[in-house]
Amino acid sequence: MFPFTFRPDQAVQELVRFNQKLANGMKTLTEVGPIEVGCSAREVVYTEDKLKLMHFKPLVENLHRTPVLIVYALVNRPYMADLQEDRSLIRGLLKQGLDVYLIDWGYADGADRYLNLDDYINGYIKRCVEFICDRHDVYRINLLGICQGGTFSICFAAMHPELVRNLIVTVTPVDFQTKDNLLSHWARHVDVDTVVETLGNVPGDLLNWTFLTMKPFRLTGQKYVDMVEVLDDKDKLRNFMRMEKWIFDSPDQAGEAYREFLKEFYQKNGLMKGGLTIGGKKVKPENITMPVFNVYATEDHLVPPDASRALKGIIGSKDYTEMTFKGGHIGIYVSGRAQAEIPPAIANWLKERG
Amino acid sequence: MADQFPGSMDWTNLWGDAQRQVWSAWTDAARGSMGDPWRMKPPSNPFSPESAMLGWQDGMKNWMRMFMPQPDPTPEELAMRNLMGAGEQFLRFGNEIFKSFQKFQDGTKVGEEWTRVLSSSIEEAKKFFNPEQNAQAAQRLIEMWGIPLEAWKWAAPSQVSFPGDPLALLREQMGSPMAGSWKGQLEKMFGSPPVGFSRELQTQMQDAGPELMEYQEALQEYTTLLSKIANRSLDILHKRLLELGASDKSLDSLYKVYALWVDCGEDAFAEVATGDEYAKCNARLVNAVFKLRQRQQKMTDRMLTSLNMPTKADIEGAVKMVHELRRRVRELESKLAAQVRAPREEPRPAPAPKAAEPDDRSAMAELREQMRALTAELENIRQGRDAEEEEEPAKAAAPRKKTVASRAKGV
Repeated sequence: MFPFTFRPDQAVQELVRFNQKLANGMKTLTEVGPIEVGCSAREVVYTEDKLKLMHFKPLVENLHRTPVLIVYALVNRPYMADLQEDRSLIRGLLKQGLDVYLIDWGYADGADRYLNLDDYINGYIKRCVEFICDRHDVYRINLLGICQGGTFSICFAAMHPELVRNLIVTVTPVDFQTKDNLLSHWARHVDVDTVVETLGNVPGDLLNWTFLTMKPFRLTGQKYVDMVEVLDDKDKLRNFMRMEKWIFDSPDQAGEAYREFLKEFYQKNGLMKGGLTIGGKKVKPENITMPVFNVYATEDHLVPPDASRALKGIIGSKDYTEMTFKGGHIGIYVSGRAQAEIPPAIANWLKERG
Repeated sequence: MADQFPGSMDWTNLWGDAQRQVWSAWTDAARGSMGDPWRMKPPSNPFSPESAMLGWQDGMKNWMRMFMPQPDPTPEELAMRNLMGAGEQFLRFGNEIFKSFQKFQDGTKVGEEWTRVLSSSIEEAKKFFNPEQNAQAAQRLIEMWGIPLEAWKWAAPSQVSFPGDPLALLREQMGSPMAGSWKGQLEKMFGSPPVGFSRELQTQMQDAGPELMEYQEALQEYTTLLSKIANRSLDILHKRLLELGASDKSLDSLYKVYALWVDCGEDAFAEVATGDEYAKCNARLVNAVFKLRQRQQKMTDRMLTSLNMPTKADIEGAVKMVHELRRRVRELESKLAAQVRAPREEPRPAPAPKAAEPDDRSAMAELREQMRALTAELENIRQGRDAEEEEEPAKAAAPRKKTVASRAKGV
């Protein structure tokens, strides 16, 4: 039997209704006002070039003894971790009594064209860690890396283990060449040198385009068609707009750092195959002997679970814990379930380790 | 569906009524947000089914025009663009489905005959996207893919235009980069020897020739691959509709058909995009685009040099020099801080033992390591240094001893 059980006039009415909703939604969209992101109270405690080190105001009196530094990716803006009150990893960690710092990398411009991974990892991150150590009078801090920031944190912990008490990574690529890693598959034949020499800094929009083309029909079409249904709900619209703001708020990538990251990780898979050097120093994952907590998402199409799980096999730590989150790369920070599961899991794991 | 399908539907009135409602909605929306009656001209013949779809899209496009010229759109403007783009896509999809309905209008075709009509519709759609059978296929593929290729156009050199760009001449002569007869035109253009007053320009263009040809070939290869994905998605759609027809399941709304189409598109894309052919083809296009842009930059640099103006290479050289100086200053600051610190500071405890080392390391050796660390800590306490980080809550007090960060801009 013909599988369409609706009549042509019903189809037309559906289109009319859709169009009316879209038209009304445009009105609502102009009325929602400015889209605010970053909900938790914070202060800038250290700056260097474009970098700002944020310290979040504690939400409880008795803080856990060791501060946590969150290292975010260069690719998007870090307010994803503190999007709004009911969708904030940072707020969740603060409620659990953790003392939280975050590196905001800022927006790279022409002056940052030659920043490389050594500058980011052995420079910026190291100086932030030392600053926090001095501020809290401690030798080591807890490091929490997110996505590419997790890869940076792994490299940092491998090169400076004496500064890291516990390492936590979330949706972090380690094995960049798993079979299901589409980004790596595409990047393997790209002449990265020509791209960087031509563009200098690599525009964030170009990276965004790459991410969207991984699921082109869904991410550029269906997502918005679905959104039309809730355009008349101002709260839902605001939530949607926050996510949209974040998705398209992509800083340009410092040319040299991009070149190194693509070549050393995506093309050579340096963490897995060995031989990775950053700033002339060998990165030896076996130096990571501190406790490690690895959170990955089962539906992550950007960092497939196997890409994250590979961490277990390359580090020297005997205290390794994995946490599986049923969701996607972004859902792990913003979904309702993530708020209930991720911050308590991280905090409890840290508290057990002193 | 067979029983419900009307034998004679008044298609013209159906579309005409729908369109009137849509115009009314968009006009209201415009009045509401612009604060000023917005003059929209309804289509000359709103009751023509052929013009109906255009009319719907025009209503949206008037809106879009308000947002398109912004070079740096706000999140709201960007969301509007994307919503409008997707809305247009959905309406276009609805229009195609509507056309399909017209094919099934004759009640006799609705029984088991629908499978034959469906197959012929799928074959027609494939021709629509086949670059070898249809000159507009490439453009249609781009439309079907919507926003991603909008961004690609931005990256592609064919869209780059700047004063004095010699390659612009080539592009003008070639017309659209999707044009089919580009190869012959290019070969002719690059075959003649450079002579006369413009020979320098001709030489530059000839130097760029192989790169431009590589770009054109890569783009054509990529477009052909996209058409494969389009074909494959249609095959998957065909199969799933037949499966649905053979089962008890059905699709009771236009949106559900659209969602099925999206699933088929994603599945087809995933099949192709995970293969080596796509990775190589995509990389070939990316590499060709950037080689060509690099050529354009070199040409521009030559022109700027002749005008005694700084080139991209000059500026990058200066930035690199500043960066290297910045690194040297940091290194020196770090060494200086270490020297200042050294005489009055005990070494930090040694890092934890490396688990990757040979397993013959006894537990006693590990205990000795820990003892050494504890002794160092005790020594610190004796000297009046507060090293109780392991026992007390953190104190956000003034720094006890400054490390490299002492010279940093602590706020």
